[in-house]
Amino acid sequence: MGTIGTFDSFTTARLGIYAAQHGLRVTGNNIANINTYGYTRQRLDQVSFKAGSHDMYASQLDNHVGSGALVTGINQVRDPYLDIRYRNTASKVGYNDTFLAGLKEIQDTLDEVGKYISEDKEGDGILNAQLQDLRDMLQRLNSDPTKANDTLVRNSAETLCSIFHQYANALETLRQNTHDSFKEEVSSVNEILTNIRNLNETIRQAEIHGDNALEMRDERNRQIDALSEYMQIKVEYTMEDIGAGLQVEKLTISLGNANPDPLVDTDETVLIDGIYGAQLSIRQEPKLNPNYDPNLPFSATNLKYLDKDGNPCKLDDPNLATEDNPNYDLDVSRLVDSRGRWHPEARFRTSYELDDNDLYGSLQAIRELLTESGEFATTDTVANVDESASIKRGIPYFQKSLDLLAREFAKQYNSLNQGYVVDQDGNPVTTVTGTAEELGLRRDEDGYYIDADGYYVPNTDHGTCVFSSPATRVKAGLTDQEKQDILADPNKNPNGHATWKEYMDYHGANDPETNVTLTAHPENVDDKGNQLGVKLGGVLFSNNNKGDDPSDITAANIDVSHSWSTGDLKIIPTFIRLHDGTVSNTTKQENIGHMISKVDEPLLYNPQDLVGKNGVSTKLFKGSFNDMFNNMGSVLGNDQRITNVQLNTEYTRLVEIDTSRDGVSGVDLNDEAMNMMQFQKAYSAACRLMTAIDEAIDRLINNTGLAGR
Amino acid sequence: MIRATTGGVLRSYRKNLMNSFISQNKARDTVLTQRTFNSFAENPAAAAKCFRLRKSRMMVESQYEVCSDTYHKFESAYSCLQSIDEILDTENPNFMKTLSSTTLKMLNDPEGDARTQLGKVLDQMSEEIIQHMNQTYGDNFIFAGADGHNVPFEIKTMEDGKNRLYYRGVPVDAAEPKVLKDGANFIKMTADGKYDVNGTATDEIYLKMDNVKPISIEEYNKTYVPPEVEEQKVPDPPFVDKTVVQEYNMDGTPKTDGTPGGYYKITDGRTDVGITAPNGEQLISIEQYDKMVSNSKKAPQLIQNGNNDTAVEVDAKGVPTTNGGYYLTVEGDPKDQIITKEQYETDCEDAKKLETLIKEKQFVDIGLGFREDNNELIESSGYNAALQGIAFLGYGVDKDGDPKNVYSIVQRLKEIAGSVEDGTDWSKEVYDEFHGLVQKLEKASSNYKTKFTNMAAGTTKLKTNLKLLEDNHYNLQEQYSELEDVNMAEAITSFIWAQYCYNAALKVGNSVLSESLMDYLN
Repeated sequence: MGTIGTFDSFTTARLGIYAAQHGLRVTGNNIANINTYGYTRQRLDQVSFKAGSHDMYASQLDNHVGSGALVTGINQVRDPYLDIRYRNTASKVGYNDTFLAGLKEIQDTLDEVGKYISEDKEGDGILNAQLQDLRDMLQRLNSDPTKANDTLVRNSAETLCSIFHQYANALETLRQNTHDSFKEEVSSVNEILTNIRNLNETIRQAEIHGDNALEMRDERNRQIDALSEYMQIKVEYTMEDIGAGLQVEKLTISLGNANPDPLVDTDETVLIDGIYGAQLSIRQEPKLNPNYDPNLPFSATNLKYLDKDGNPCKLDDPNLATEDNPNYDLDVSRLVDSRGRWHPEARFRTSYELDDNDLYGSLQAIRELLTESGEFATTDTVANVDESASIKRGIPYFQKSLDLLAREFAKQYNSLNQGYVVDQDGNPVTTVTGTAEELGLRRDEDGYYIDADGYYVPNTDHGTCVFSSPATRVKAGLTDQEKQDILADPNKNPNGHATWKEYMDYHGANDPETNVTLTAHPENVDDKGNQLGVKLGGVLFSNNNKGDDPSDITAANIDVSHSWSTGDLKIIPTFIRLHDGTVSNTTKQENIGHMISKVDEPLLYNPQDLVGKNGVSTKLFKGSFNDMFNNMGSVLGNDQRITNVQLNTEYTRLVEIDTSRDGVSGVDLNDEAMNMMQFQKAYSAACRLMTAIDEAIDRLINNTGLAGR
Repeated sequence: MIRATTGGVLRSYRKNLMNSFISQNKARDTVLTQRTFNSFAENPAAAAKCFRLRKSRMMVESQYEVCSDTYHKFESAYSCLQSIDEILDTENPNFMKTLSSTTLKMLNDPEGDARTQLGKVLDQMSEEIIQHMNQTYGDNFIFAGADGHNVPFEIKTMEDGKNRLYYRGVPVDAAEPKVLKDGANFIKMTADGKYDVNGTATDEIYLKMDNVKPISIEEYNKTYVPPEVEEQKVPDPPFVDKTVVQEYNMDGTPKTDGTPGGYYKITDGRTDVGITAPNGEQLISIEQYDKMVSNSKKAPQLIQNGNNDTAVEVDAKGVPTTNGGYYLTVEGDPKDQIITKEQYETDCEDAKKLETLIKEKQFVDIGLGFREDNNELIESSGYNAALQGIAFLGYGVDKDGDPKNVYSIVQRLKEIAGSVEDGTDWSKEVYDEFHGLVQKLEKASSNYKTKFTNMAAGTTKLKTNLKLLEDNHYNLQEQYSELEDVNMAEAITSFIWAQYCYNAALKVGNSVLSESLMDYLN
């Protein structure tokens, strides 16, 4: 029979009290944190305690009784699998939520459902209605081609241009805001990564000193959850041997293998490895000099890049300016600890350039909003960046669609307002006489008239004019040097005029009411080499209101051309000249008819018209201007619907997983009430045990051995 | 779920409460906006369809405006044409005020008592017609075709005092002159109306064929050249003394009984006229002889060779040729039948201009489609709103070289009426010409009525089209309204239901946090 210590049972009671009190404290902590976001309910770990060891001489009659309960620790109740599911789903919710928010902002600009210009046109839309307004004005002009009605058409066109501007500006503002938001998001991700790394370090320290650091783990889980909304991640816990037989937990977070391309492995780049963490950055590229001409030799002014002061420089210039990569590619830095020391392993000592699809989450959603142009993607992008680029549509898609619409619109009407004069039988008319106003000639900045091919109109008041001959005619838009060259050319300046003004006053026409004669330029021939007639008209729309340049028109810059806005140029109602102009046809308007029917004519919108021959698609849509604009709305609406369905699905799943996770890790008042009662009763019982033992020993000490007294 | 926690229950409740709130908000928006969808995202297909329908409606509105405008223009045109019709109408009850009555009155007024007055009336009426044709609708001249900003008809008084009508600067009577040609080559004449046989004339002058006809030499001779007869010295009729001329019987024997029906003997060897008697004598009846003599007095002039003043021998088409067997006869002075090359070209060009103007169209969009094919309007998809005045009044000349234009005919009638002095009888030729022109005026009037009727039919078409556009407008509104507009009863019911659900969710929320075991601890 083993030895029984007199006060041994006191220890048992005391440990019982301790354990129960710990239990009450844990319960209290759980109850207190019931509303703490991310709090994981804690659980007391206690074990049965037995002191002493086996006797030297064992006896069958020896009965070993335990010595009570020991609290071995306090643990969190978490289900790692639920965490993984939660975080995977969170990245999907993050992606869809952010993408949908972006689409919603595009919708605020482009979706004209329920919008209207005036009360009487309720629901007709804005751009939609304005296109029809232009058609109405053209109808008026068609009924009566007067200057007053031409002005009405121009006013309508100006309004249309301003709507294009508004939409383009709103989209550009949205893109810029999204760009800023992307930078902020990257900063937020970096802050989270830093927090996790620092928490890892703190938890590691605590673990070394025997503390589970549960609250810090909660905080770390919160940070990881937050990170999982930004990007799909993979979280791993391993044990790290820190020497002296001691192991501590090590958390590793890497990207979650989101890239569908199996050959890409950067989508598993490690972001956090224990106390080492990485940072994300937007890839920077040298700022290109927009004025650089590769066909000219290198010089101080013809260098490919710009420095921070905006001056041309070479790539190795220390003052080289950089800018965000246009694809907003991200780089992951090397892993460093809080004191800037590099990770001991070589593979973590280099930075990684992430592939286009390595991320999946809100960060990627913003990237796609910023970069994806759908059918406007280039073959280069599809081949080298994202093979699915042609089916992803972000802000650039809608910007480019609007640009393409504006460009096609301008192209069609500019083309219609330029043509070759024909007679009543459709034969080319090679000489046309009339006042500049009648012929709708435009003028240069000095007021000299220019024909539709860009050549100065001859002033024949002084007899033979050099501008009349194809050999000596002069095109407008010359540089000062070119003007000087012409003045020095005896063929082009036979009278030896000393100044450009004198020269132009002599040879150029500038009186709106004097008749001028236009002759067909010999180079204007058709496909079969037949001479075309005199070209009349000019561009109605240009890339700014200060000139007549129709190149590179976008929704942001489309404007009524300078010549049209000043009234020099007008809509050409007809290119038919009856019997050499001897029979007037003041209300002939077949060309306005072309313009009217053009409003409703199905046109093919070719993305290559905007992005060049490298465009991956040659057909975006076929329809009228209105149809094209509404197609943008439909595409946007469908994308929103799809994204919304995905978001709802993923969000519902996320809530379910979170609820399940809460089922495991969350605090429940009923549970805690039970625990509280349980620990309270245990505490009372242990106290009662102590009283019982006390009474028993008191009997032994004070009331034993008094027999016979 | 193994374990339901307070936090989990609350999260779930929050999500569902939010869903209820969103549903209620959406139902409220539906009631307030009265629209079934407020963005493409809510119903992309319906939104796209509605915009298409709205665009169609806007187009219909525009087309209605154009159609209405065109209709009113045509109504104005109708009114003008109606007035002209009344002037031209032969069946007008107010007969005395019509052109027909005036011209008929002239025909019945051979002595010309009121001819001058009637001529003035004709002048006035023809000018009135032109005034009507120069009416405007808005700022545009109705009958100016595609030149609405300029007065279409202009009356110019020529140097000879005659009025000539111009349409858009082109004489309405312009026609390509019929000139003598050898294939594509012009036959050139001299300034005095003779054939330029040696090609020596300085200016290019052509022969107008309006009053020039080829006639076979044989026929000419038969008709106009009387044969020489035996023993006769025939003075001009009626001074012929037939008693001194020997008459023969049909058998060639001298006729002595003095009865009518005798013959003369032809002594110049001609055998192409008359008969050959049994004795071989060539005889011609006195009646035929008299007729030939009479004809010879009014024989037309022949175009002569410029070098020797002999008649030009031509072929059946009038082309000068040796042994052609034909002459070219001219009514009147040959000098009046020549035309300079410049004038010829001007007339041809004017005629072409008229053809151009009559074909000119001015299409407007009244809702017939207005579509183009290869940058050319499909004509059936537009409505030609151009009204050419000359289409109604006529233009050019007929095969006789007379004007087809109503004004020109009337002016010509006026000129003829004015050419005969008051109190003088019509000559037969003048009467015939006047009468012929009256018939041509009636024909021109008839053409006018046909055109007028066609235009009236066009006006009716526009009116019908207006009604169709109205119906179309209504239908389009109905169509997109069906898609866009909510059924208010349904929308309110949905809102009430959503509100009820939300209230219920709130009520549930009150009990979500109500009690736990904690509440039962003592």
